[in-house]
Amino acid sequence: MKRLLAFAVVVSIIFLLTGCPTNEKRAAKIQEKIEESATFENDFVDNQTKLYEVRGKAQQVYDDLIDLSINDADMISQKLDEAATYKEEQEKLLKQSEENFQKAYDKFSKIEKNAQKIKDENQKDVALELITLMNNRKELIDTFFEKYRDYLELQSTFYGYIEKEEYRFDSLDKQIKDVNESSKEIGEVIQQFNVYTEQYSNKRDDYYQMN
Amino acid sequence: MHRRRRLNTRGKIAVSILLFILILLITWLFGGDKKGAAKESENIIGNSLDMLSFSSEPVEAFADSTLSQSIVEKENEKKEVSRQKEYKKQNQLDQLDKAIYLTFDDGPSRDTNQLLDILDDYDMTATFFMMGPKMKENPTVVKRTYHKGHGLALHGITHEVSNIYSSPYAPSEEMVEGQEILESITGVKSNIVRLPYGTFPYLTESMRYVLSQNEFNTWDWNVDSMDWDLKDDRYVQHTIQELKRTEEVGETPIVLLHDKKETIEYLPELLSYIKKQGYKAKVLTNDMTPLTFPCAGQCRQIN
Repeated sequence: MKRLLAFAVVVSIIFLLTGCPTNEKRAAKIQEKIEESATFENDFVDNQTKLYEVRGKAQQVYDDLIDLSINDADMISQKLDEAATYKEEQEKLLKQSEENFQKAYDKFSKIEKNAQKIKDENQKDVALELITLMNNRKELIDTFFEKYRDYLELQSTFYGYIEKEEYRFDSLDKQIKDVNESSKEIGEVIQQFNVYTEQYSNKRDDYYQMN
Repeated sequence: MHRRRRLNTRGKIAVSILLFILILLITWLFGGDKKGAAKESENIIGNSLDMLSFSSEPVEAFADSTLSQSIVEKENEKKEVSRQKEYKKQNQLDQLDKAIYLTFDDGPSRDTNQLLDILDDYDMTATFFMMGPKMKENPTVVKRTYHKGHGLALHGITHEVSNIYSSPYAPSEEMVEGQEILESITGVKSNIVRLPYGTFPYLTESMRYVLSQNEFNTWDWNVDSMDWDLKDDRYVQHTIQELKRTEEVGETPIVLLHDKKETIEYLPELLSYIKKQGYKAKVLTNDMTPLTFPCAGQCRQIN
């Protein structure tokens, strides 16, 4: 009888130590999805880093081009080719970046079902806030892709004028003003995206500490 | 002899429970490893949330660039060659008529009616380079100027160097505004413009280019009456000397005068001379090739 009592005590302690297996399973699943999502986010960040570098090179081409004289036809042609190449590279990176973020988002979105079922209210709140922040990031990054493509089109129109030798100074000047305006808008989107990313990162740390 | 003991039912249950506990323990330990692994993976995840870089720094404005300047200069040079050729032809025809173009800047004013009366007295027409806000203030006299057959032309809005020469677009913008005001009063769309203080040195190549793109014809003068400085009949004597000079060199006089009291006071004296010399006063029109001071690399942007 004494032995049986001892068993009961030991079993109870073990159950207490291991906790509710269903909750843990959910938490593990959520973490698993976050990690899967993070691998795509890593690729997304890589794409964005490369995009930043290529954009820098493209801007250098513009700086070089406007330092030329209209009589330097060969050099102008060369710069226009370079500009076209960098535009293509940026488009490619944008596409990859967009795909990777979409995958990261899709993976992450799968946590919602489990998050809704979390019994611990605090833990549930944090998980749901994480979802909101990810949605905010998705919305902003979609805006970013759209605006970036518009930005590339504006640049392309500018180079198109030069290529066709349509040297309307006022049109060209306006085009560059529009490019700068577009660039400013993208900068604002990225700034806000980074704010959400930081909030997301902090919230995710909070969530991890709870598990 | 050691005898092997067999487990009874209770023993079996106890062993089963122990085994179960053992499995739970292993699961727990394994779970613990998972937690450890999750913590480890935080580092990997952490890298995925790097801040994105994006430089919003504007690129250099095209208007300020070497390429832009070379485009403007090349285009202006081409236009200048054709302008000179056309102007020469026009001058030859005007010489046959002994034409003279009297031009009055800065109006309309409270004295414009008197000025129109004097021109009427001498049966002469002139061209009026008018300011937008003053046209708005005196629409009746603008209409009268038009009905009397005088030339209607534009002199901008502000007459301030710091405004009208502030950017490649500023002169055109002021002229477009003036053009709209004149058209709203008279129905006449004039492309004839004169810049405050003339085109040199503040009207840069870029400004000229934009004016030309907007189809404005920018007029200067070849006879400065100096009425803005000599505020009495000395300006008449000075103008007469200048007219003699233009006659000698075969240039059709385009006389700069101002729509103001002091000028109007001594104007009959000047008009008498002009009439006596047999000049035919004509008005500038949209289709004429303008006389514009060249930049010759000397024009400069203010500031």
